[in-house]
Order: sequence, then structure tokens, then C-alpha cells
Amino acid sequence: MKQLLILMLITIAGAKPLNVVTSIPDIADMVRMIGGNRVVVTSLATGKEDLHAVPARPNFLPILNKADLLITLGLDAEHAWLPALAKSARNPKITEGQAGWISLEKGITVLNKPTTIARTEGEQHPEGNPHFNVGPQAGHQMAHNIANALTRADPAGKSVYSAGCDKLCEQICAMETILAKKGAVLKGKKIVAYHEDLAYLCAYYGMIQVGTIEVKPGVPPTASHLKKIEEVARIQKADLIIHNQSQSAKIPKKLSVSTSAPVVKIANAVGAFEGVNSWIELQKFNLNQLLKAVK
Amino acid sequence: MITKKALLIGTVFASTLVGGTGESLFNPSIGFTGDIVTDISDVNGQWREATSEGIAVRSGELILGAAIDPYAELTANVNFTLDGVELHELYSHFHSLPANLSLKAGWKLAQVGRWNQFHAHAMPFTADPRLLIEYQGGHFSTLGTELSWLAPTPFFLELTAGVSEGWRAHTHDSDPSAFDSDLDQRAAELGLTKHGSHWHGSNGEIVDAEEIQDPEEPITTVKNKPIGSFPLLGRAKSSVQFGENWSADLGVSGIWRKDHRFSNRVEGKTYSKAVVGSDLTLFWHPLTANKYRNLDLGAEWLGTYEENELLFGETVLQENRFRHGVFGHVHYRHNQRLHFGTYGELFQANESDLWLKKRVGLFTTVELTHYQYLRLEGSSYRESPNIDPVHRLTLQYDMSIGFHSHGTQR
Ligand SMILES: [Zn+2]
Repeated sequence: MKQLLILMLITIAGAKPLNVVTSIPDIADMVRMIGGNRVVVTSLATGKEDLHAVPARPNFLPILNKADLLITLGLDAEHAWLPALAKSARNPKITEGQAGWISLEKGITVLNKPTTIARTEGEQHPEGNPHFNVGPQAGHQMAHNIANALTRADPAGKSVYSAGCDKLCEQICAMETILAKKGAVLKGKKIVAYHEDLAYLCAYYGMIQVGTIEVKPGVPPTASHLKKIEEVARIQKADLIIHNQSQSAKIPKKLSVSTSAPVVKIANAVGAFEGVNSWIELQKFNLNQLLKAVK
Repeated sequence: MITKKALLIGTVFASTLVGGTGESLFNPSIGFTGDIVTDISDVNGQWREATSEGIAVRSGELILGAAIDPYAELTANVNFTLDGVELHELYSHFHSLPANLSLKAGWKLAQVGRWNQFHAHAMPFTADPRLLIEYQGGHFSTLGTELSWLAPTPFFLELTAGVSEGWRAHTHDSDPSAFDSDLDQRAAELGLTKHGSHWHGSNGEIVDAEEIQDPEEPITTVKNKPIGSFPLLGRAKSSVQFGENWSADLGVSGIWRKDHRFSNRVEGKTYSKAVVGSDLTLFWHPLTANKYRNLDLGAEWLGTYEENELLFGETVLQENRFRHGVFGHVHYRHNQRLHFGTYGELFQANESDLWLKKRVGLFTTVELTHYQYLRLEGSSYRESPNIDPVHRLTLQYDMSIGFHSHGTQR
């Protein structure tokens, strides 16, 4: 019995899992899939929030304090809340710019890259559109980036992470087959977005974004801007008006009345709605929401 | 005066040029905040502007932040007003020391209480809590050092201990009663009516300035600095989460200075001063479609313990005074544009054991854009039973560009 106990202790001590904290549940889901038992993972955001404005709670600090890795989307998407928290967590490994702070944009073809960086452009997307997690095409690259980060932090787990990544990529491939088939009807559909978080989704399905309700990312619409968007949506014959979980449906509904384009509520992060528990479920959920509206 | 204005405008312009998206792109990061206030208040039944200019540039803060290395950063906060330029904060923050410690050294707003650490433009209301001014002299600043420890607990718990070079405090907020001098204030508190260069008592008798002034100041605060004159301060802060939408921050703090006053009569005799406080703030921040809709309500209790010297005939006596009060607020944000709120405070006056000072206020804020807001605030302040309450109406305009050094405050 005593020997068994010692053996168990050694096993536990030897396999101290990598403590991974992620900004959003999308990344946490992938980390779980890839890392299996070698990781424990916590997402700071629940997925219901606006990615750019997650309420920074003091209770994030003890979580960040014990993290080995902090994995973020990057492109400054979490700039408003995460770097300052990481700095307050007494964990120099994971502050921005350090080895434990991981951004996933590497290898992603970034859309909507600004030509100038100025306050007048809003400040939520200073390095281009960071919502690549919403696009199905980013899955493979995100998975590989996560596997690489886990391997760098825990080289002994290389084979586990590599196998986990392969398995996830297989599932993504299977998902893509379904999305491509079912989503073909979306090609050429014209959409009005609330926030600039649909660029990757549009690129994937061949939808065309004709206007955005926000003046700039994070800058709320003015009356004159709304009037302009309404006109654009009418002239361009917009098919869909799309907003995400963190935005009020009030303005989209108003636009819908005057343009007769239906309103679609999508999830721009895992956890946004009940049943959207994995990144693959997120993709399927969003496709279903779009299909329901175009029928 | 003109040169100072020019300097201010020049600074705004300069920071517009460099104030891009913040720290990750620029090092040092630069930010600028302008806080402009105009107000009228009725003292003795007469409405008047608090400042001779009408509009007060209460503060123009130029904020600089730069990483010294991955483990430390330097923050400077220079405050411009029409009266001059002053260095507000200049400190190094060693944020990632071993053993869960962090250290701030330099000149900064002390980590005590809830509202103490808020800059003028970051508070949801315009006027500083009077309680803070009454017991601490305003926002307590340290020229010293503070060591903070994040407890390795599953919930947030932070303990801070610090030492300051002196009892330093400031406020950006003009006093609504706006007395021209200490003498005027003291006379008003005694219930006297001013008439030219003298005052009248309740029976019409003439009271001269000499009678109002304290005939013999028994104590002094000016001495060379013994070790006991360095205030010590401490704070414990925690936070509790109730489900997804509710959370509460709570804290207890204290400032203690052993040698706060020095006796002029008894050689070597000193008197201490302490401020203790506790604060509780409740946050409702639903993670729903109305991401801007939120509410915070809180109460901050402050108490002050002061030793003082009294003369009873020829006998020198020590008097110990404890006074306390509470400041409460409700702040509701309805949407991206509109905020509403109210506050109230009730506290024992420094001047007399019999007085209770009371203040209530209402405010509404319109966020013109993410970087500008306009606030209208009305308040009523009764300082003493002998003085009519002072009503004050304030219009505040704030704008900020670039980097903020206090982004995580909530
Ligand atoms: Zn965005």
C-alpha cells in the first residue's frame, strides 16, 4: 500500500501538467484537444463578452499568476484588458513580449490591415482584423501554432502535442467538407456587419460585406452613418444583417425593417451561446444561423 | 498665464501626433488627459463661479509610461493647470519580483482606500469625496515605496505595505464654499457675518480678526524629521465573484504617523495621527448583449484618530479624537453613451465634535465618443450647522488620448 502510494506520488509529480491560460474559450478548446492530460487550461473570457472589452476582474490575477503559458489571439485584439492584467499577476514569464505570452496570428493571412495607424481609425484593430477565429480557414494554422507553443514550453510532450494536433486537424478537415457543401449557397450573399469581425467568415464562404454598422471598430454608429449604411444596404440589396453575441439587436432590427434583410446573430467566440462548446461547434453553429436566414 | 496656456495647447498637439494605439507600438507610451470644469455655487445665498476665470482647467495630465526592462516600468504624470505645472507622479514599478512581490518606488498616489488612487478624470463623478479631503487632506500621495504581495490563494488577495516621506495629499477639486481665506472660513464656522474687515456676532457685536484666530498655536508640524514622522501605510484588498455577472471588491487600509505633531510646550512630546478605512464595491457587469450596461455601488468608510494638545489653565493635556464618516455611491451605465449616478456622504467634522457634515450629489455623464465625455453634476454640501448648505452645479468636459496609466481601475 505504501509502495503504491509512493508510486502514485511519483506519477503525479512527474506529470505535472502544463498550466495554460487563454484569452478566449476557442483557444482553450484547441489546447485541450491538443494537449490532453499534459495540460490544464483555463479561459479568462467566457465567450459571451466582447473580445476587446472583457471586464478585467481581480480574480483573473491568481489564475494568471500560476500560468506557464498565456495564449491570446494577438493582433492587439485583447490589448484593452489583458496586457495590464498580465503585468499585475507577478508572473514575468507571461507578460506581453515574454516567452510565455503567445499570439496565434503567426501564419494567418491577416485581413483589413490598416494602411495608417491613427486614433481616427478606432483602436480595436490596430494591426488588422484579429477575428480570424471566426473563420473556418484559420483552424489548421491555429492548431499548429498552439501545438508549437505547447512543445516549446514542454518539449517532453512533443509526441503528444503532435498527435493531438493531427487528430484535431483531421476533425477540422471533416468539418470543412461539411461546411463547404452546406455553405455553398452563401456565395455572393451581401451582408452588413455590426462589427468588423466577419471578414474571415465572408472570405471563406464568398460573402460580400457591403457595410459596417460601427463607424470604425469599436466606434458606435452616428445617425448620419446609420443613414448611409441603410442607403448602401438598400442599393446593394443586402441579404443579411449580422451581429454577434455582445451587441444589441436593436440597430440591426431597425435596419432590417427598412431593408427587409433578415437579422442573423452569430457567435464570434466559443461559449457565446449554449451548445457552442468547441471551436468546431462554433463553425457549425454560425453556418446554421446563416443558412436559417437565407432560406 | 498666456505662456502656460500655450504650453498646454502645445502639449495636446504634441501628444496627438504621437498618441497612436499605445504601449505595444510606442515606447515610451504617451497619453494626455484634459479635465476642464466650470461650476457655480451659492455661498451665502449668492450664486457665483468658483474661479475668477469661470472655467478651470482642473488638470491636464501628460502621462508617460515606459518599460525599463521586462520586469520594471517607469510612469510619469505631469499635471498642467493654468496656475502652473507640477510633477504629479513619478515612480518605478517593479511588477514581477520573486515571491509574488511587486514594488513601487517614487512619487505616486498611495494604495490606500478606494477613491484615493483615482485621478480626477477617472472617477465616475466630478467632485472629490469631501471625506477624503477632511481626514487626509485629499488624495494621499507617497514619496516613498510600497511593497505588494499577491497571495497564492485561488481567490484574489493582495497585501500592500508602504512608507512615505511625509503626509502629502492633494485635491484637484476646488472647495465649493470657496472661502477667500482660512480666517473667513473660521469666522463662518463660528457663525459670524463678515462686514468689511471685521465680523459681527449673533448679537451684532463686532468681532475682530484677532479674536477669530487661535491665540496660541500649541503645536507645530514643522520639525526636522525623526523616523516617526514617516507615515506607514497598509492595505489588504480582495475580490469575490458571485456567478457570471456580480462581483465585489473589498479592502481595508490604514495610514499611521507616529510623530504627526510636535509640542511647543513639552520637550520631545509628539502626537500621532492615523486614518483607517474600509471599502466595499459591488459590481454588476452582465455578459449579455448590452455589454455597456453595468452598475457599481459602493461605500467607503474612513475614520481618523488624532492626538492633540490642550491647555487647561497651566496644565498641558493630551486630547485624543476619533472621527469617522462614510461615502457611498451608485453609478449606473445605461449604454455606451449614458451614465447616471448619485452619491452621498456623512462625516464628523474636524472642527467640532458636534458637527456632522453632509453632502449629496447627482450626476449624469454623456460619452461624446470613447475619448470624450461631458458631465453635469449637482451637489449640496452642509459643512456646519451654522452655515447654509452650499449648492454647486458643475459642468465637466474630459478628453483623453493615447496611453492611460490606470487602465485596470474599476
Ligand atoms: Zn474586433
